[in-house]
Amino acid sequence: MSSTTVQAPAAAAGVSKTAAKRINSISSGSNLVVNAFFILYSIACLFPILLVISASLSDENAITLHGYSIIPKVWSTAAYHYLSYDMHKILVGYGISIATTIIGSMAGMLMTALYAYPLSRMDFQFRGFFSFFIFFTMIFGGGLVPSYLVYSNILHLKDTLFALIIPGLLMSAFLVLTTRTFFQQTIHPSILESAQIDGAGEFRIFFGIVLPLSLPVMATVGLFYTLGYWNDWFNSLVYINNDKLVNLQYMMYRVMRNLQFLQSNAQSNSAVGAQEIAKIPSETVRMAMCIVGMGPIVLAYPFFQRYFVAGLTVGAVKG
Amino acid sequence: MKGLQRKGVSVLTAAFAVSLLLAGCGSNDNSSSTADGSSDSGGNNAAAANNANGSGTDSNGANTATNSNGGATGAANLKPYTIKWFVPGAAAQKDQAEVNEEVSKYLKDKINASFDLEVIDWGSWDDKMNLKFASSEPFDLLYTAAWNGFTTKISQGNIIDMTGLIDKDAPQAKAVIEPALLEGSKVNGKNYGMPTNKEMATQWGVMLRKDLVDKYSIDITTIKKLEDLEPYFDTIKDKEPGVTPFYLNKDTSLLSVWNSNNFDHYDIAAGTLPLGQSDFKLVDGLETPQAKAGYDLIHSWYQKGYVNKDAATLQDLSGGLKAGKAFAYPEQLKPGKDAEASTATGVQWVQVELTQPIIGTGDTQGAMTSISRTSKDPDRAMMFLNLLYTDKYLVNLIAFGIEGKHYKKVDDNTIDFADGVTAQTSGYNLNQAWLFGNQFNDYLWTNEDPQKWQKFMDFNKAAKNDTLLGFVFDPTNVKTETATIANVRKEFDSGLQSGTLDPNVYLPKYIDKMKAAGIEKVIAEEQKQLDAWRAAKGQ
Repeated sequence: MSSTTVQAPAAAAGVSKTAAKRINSISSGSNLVVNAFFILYSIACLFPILLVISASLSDENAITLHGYSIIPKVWSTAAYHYLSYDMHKILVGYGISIATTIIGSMAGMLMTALYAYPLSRMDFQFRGFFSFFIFFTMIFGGGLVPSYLVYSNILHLKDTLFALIIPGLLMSAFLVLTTRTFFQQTIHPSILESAQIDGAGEFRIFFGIVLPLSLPVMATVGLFYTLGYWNDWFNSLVYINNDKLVNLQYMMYRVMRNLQFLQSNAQSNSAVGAQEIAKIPSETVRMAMCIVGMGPIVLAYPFFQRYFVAGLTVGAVKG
Repeated sequence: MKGLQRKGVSVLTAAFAVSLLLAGCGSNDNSSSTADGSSDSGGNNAAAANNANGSGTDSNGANTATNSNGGATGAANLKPYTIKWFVPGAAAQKDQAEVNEEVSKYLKDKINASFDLEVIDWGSWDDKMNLKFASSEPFDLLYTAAWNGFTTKISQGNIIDMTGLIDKDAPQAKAVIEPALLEGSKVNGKNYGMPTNKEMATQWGVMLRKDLVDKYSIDITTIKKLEDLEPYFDTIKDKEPGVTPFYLNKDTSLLSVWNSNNFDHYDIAAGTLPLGQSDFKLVDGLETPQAKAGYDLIHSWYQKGYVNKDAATLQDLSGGLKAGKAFAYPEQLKPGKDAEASTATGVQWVQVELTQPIIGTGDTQGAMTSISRTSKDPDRAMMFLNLLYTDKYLVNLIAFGIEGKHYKKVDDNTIDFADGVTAQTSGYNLNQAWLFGNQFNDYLWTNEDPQKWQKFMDFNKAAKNDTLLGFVFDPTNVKTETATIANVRKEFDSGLQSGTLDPNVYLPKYIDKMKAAGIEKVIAEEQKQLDAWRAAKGQ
């Protein structure tokens, strides 16, 4: 499956400045080296994706005989043709993935901000306690079985859309603390004070001043949540039995897991193993699934990009 | 002003108090695979929850309608009940609900029960079942097998002892099951699973590509042992460029054949019994000269160029087989295996048997149906199993779906896909009949040998018992060593058994690392259990 590292520096370095020589600009020699490095780095990031695309468009036997190549040796769209049988399923999976990603990321961003903002306010009485409270969840988790018991037997989230949104994904303690730090460093208490003097209430201050000033951190948090939701297969694995509620990632991951499971048990159980492995979609189909699953999330990063590039610190206090 | 501010803060506080509740549930780390972790914690939980109703069937408090004749005739005086059954499979089936409905209709008059079969895909099978036990989800039946943590499920008390239930509720089924199967699947003298009635022995050999066998007019009856293959491999190597004479991947080797012929019982990760021994003293298999000879043979084949160069790293054998890269490959055999492999790969094969069929514990416990401790009515589950083993209509309905919708009858005992349905479009094509009860009652597909079940029965009769049939090593006391040994095996196994590594250099290293990992402790533990087992059997 595609990796989910965020390559902010690579993208940022690609933005070329005006050609005019400026003070403090780096020499053209070092500039060349830096650019060359990042060009190579970007290629190294793109290469596996190209390889997967090419493999998904190759003929199965050609891959077995000649291995992978950037340009398919024998073109074939058989893999996508095979996937088209399951078109309905894939579209439903897409729907589930997109719905959970949008709802989950929005809710996650809102709740993260709502939790982080009071923590950033020096005049909030229980700051220490609530900071520790969320920090505690970072260090200690109950493990899978207790959380499964809570979600399935107490909250009855099994086989609902909520099971794909809430467990383990909705709020990340780390992002809450990051956001809190951003609020503390970027939003000067003087702004809040002057807003209060002008008669703004807490909500007005939060939604009218704090959030608009915090677009960069909200974009970062949003990107993390979006990637987290889009790539999550684990909740589907644990909480979903109804095939209509399975998201796209799990649909694909399932194939991989089946293969791994059967292969790792192949020795102890060769008769069953071989028979079952034969039913698993072939190499090219798995690659085609990979491409189909990558779809929209590839476009997510450029969407967030503008918030990172736009001025990171927004000042509003007269010195 | 100040009051307003305070109010605002308190509303905000309330708002994130809610979010805090939710945050408390969320842990940030769900990236790691839970295969190992969950089974432990799940086990403790299950063991804790395993109270009196989980063990011992005689003191069963469920509402049982005892039938004097033990059969399933007294449907009228049974309460309605739903039998829930989990099996692993390649994928959930589209028409599962309809098939379940059909089975429920049929069971209503027999044992007044409805039927709910759920297929869980292989990859999540272990995780999901562990969670079900951990959360004490009520269900009745599940698939179990020696290779799939059977002994663990028993020691955690998650599946119940069925010995008494079988006698009480399933006498007809008991009469149908091969006695050796029922006997061989016992653990500590008790049945925890009903074995599927099918082939019950392991036989190893090689598959040869039919077109090349015909082309070079190879007489396969003359091939009696591995070395007999060498001249043919030479022919293929010289005359068929692009075809690998002996095609292997990281998990297959000729050693399966070799060890079956050269040892009474071979287990690389625990104790081994040398051929023809009578004192039941376990040794370290790797240190025996026979094991060395096996590694030498495959290494010489590798050096002669019989084996594909990527054997030690290749994950998937079937791709190369389908692409026609292979002349021969090792395979576990049963009657008609060549036809099965031909269907699966699209290449015609013939099978050459090189070992005697042997009934081992792994075969007798290869596919069983067990009753969960969370079953509300184990008696009813057993009545259902009794029907499953004896009722031809029922077992075929569950295995192949609804007649006319998923399959059509070609003659009495032969079926094909229904009109307008293919393997790809069928709403019920589980293709795993070996999960369900009694295979000798199954219909046969048009491409299968009409004599298949007869041949299976003959095969079963011809098989001889493994020296340790019925014995299962429980590695609980040497968990750490077992895990370390598994890691050492990852390092050496694929390299040595594919012939890539020179055994003169690497076998001593392997032996040393196994010793360091604690193989001797494991063998001593197994020896202790083996002696106790033999004492219990009165040998």
